[in-house]
Amino acid sequence: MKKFLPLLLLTAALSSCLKPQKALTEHPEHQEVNAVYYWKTVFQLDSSARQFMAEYDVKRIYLRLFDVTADDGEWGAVPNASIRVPEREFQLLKNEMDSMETVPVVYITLDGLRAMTDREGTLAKNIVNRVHNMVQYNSLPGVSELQLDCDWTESTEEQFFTLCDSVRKTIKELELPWRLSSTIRLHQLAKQAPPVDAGVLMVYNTGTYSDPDTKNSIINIEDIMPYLKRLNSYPLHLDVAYPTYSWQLIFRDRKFAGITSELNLTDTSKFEPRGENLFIAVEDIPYNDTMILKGDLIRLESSDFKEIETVKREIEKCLSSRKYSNIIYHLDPENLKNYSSDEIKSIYAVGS
Amino acid sequence: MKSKVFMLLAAELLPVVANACGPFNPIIPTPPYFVTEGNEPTDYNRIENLKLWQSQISDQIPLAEIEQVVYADSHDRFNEMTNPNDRKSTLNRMYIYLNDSNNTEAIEFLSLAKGIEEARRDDERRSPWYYPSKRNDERTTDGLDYFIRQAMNYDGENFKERYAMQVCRALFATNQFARCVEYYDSIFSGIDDASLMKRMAGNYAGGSLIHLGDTVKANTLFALAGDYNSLFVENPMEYMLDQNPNAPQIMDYMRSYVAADSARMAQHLPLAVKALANRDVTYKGDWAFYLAYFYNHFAQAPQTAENFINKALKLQFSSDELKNQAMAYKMKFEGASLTQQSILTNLRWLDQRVDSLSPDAKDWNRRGRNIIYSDWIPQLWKRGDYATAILLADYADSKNLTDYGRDENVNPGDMDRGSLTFQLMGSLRSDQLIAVRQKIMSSTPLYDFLRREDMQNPNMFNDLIGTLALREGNYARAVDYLLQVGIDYQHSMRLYRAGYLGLDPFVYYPERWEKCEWEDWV
Repeated sequence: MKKFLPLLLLTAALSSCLKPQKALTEHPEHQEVNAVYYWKTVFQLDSSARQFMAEYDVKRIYLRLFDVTADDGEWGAVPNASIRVPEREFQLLKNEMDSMETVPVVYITLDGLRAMTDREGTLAKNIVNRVHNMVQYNSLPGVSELQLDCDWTESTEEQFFTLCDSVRKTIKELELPWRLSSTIRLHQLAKQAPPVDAGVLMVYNTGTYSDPDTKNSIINIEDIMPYLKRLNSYPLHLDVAYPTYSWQLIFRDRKFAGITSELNLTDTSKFEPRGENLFIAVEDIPYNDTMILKGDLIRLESSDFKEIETVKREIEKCLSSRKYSNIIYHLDPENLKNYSSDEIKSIYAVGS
Repeated sequence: MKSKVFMLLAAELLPVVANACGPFNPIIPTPPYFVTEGNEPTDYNRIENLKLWQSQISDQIPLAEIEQVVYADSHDRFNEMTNPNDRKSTLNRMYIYLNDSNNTEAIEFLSLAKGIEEARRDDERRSPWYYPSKRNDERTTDGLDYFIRQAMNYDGENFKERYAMQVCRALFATNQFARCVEYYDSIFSGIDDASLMKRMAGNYAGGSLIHLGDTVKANTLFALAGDYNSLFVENPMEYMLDQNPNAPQIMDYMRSYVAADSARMAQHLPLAVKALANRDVTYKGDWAFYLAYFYNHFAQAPQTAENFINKALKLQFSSDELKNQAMAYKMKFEGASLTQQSILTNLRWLDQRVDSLSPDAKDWNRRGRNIIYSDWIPQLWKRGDYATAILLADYADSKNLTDYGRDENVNPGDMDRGSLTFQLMGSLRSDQLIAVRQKIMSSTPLYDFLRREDMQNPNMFNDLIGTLALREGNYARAVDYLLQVGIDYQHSMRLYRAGYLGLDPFVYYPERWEKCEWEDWV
């Protein structure tokens, strides 16, 4: 089963906006530029990806370097699914992308975070040292920020905040010119801001993907609106990430069974449409190492531009008095080709 | 004359001393039979690997020097020593060979193997958090993955198996267990089990299989490698005997761990019996020796032990070392049936073991003396062959000189009166010693071999026979023999040199008698 993407919940509501907290560390000032997330395990910039970046003047890549997961052994938490940079892309990064800014991102699972309770300092050192080495090894250009991505909740808030403190301390000790940022999920807007220099508001995975009755868990204005009332007063500089991906969720007996994006749902001999984005398997279909069984429900979810546009409009109302950038999640030419040039420009446009 | 008076007085005390004491067999710290210090199973690979290197490069290079290069020197040190642009001077013949022969194939392999070992040992790199920081430093770019690729790219023949083993080792070290097993199967399935590299690689593949949950296949690989410590079975030795009956690690385990304890030995008797009956066991001599040792040492059943040791010597042994021990062990049972010929044969064989070039020479010296003292002389004495017993005692005593590094040029009169030779002679009657002397002087191959200078010295015999006659009250014989003791011999005695013969035997010298300083006697 493919790895799940980080989840977000949705809110909508606006109120008066406050100035964001200013970064305190000595590092290049944050610039408002077009950006993308890169969330695969192999860093491959094919011609269409490079063309996309050039066409839309993408100047910053948020690059997931690895996940932190729980380990049964002595380490407590270990890196997992580290990104691999092939030689061609390494040369590209080294020689042709020196004007690009890279933000290394580390995704921290809740199990990994819990496993390091009271050892957040160790985890912080491990993370910072490893990111530092990966940056050097892969010649990642323009790194002035490290981002932690974690779906922390009330029960794990303290651990995550301690980790953030420790990471900032480690960065300072190593004299790295990095600021620390964190992804901010919609539900986290209601909590105290983590001790970081900046945040990226994740406006995706807003619904409950595992609920068979959810219409679209990737982005849905109804899920988002309740949370937006706190956005304008959020005490961190925030950029905003919008989704451009799609996926297929599999349910068996109304229970979530997996995520894929490879099924040909237009093949009516195998899948029978049931409603706007639902399909029923009409026969047993071999799939990777398993089997999609006759009667399984497939829900096709995508990031519909109109939905993005609606959400973005509401968010911009809140951020109108602040500086911010827009980010596309994530750089996948296969998905991005579903959007017109104007739509992409619209997503990147600030205050439009 | 004073000396005669002194001896007369001393002789009055002698019967008391002689009755109360001895003869005492010298207590000699002798290395045990069969039992040995244990090796780790992997030690065998190390030794075998060194010999393999020796056969691959030059049998003129000592193993110790190969070991220095192959195992001891670091990656950096090795690269420094083999750097073609800046070679360092060295006395190590392996480095000299590698550089002079320009054997780049061997140099490249060893450099890679050391790189893997260094990376594997490096705690930082073993950490799952490790990530290299330099891409242009090929050695450290991506840790062991770099070495894996390098090893896999080798397309030669000479080091094919060695490279394949290194790949397995590195894959295991990087937790790539499935890949390790797959690679092992793909490379080594067609290679004979006798291959050292196959066995060593099998250990890593076995370890990988444990991680993957396949303990059955893992056990077969561990058994092939002789790694009984890693076996997931109830009785590792029984499994080893079944799977790899001639693995040297089995007997090493029996000799080091089992043989040191009577209960363990008894517990493993069925295994030894089973081994003797197993047609796949080549070295049955080892197992028969095991049984002989058990029955003699722990079961007080010397007849059974003798049967097994005789049987053992008709079978094949895994090593000359063990076979030689078995040969010596058999001598311990021969006391009752000894002939001059068999003694001579045994002594000559023992003498060969005491070759000064042999690292075991000292152990064999002690082992041989112990057989003579403890096993042969009592039997010879029991059957009244005093001459042979005394000659053997003198022969064994003489071996003691080199043991303690004493000067060979001792004074004739300085023979150790505490030695077993003198104890034996002193325990006889004077007429018996006269007969012994006559027999000793007769010429036989054994006596000619054993008779040393002191045994040909009439002064020593005359002195002792006369003294014994004094003890017996046979003063005529005493005077007869003591008069024949030459003045030079008397002067060479410590008793004389210490001034005791110059003292009046009828005067009490408390300041000397009560102050018994050992230094006066040495």
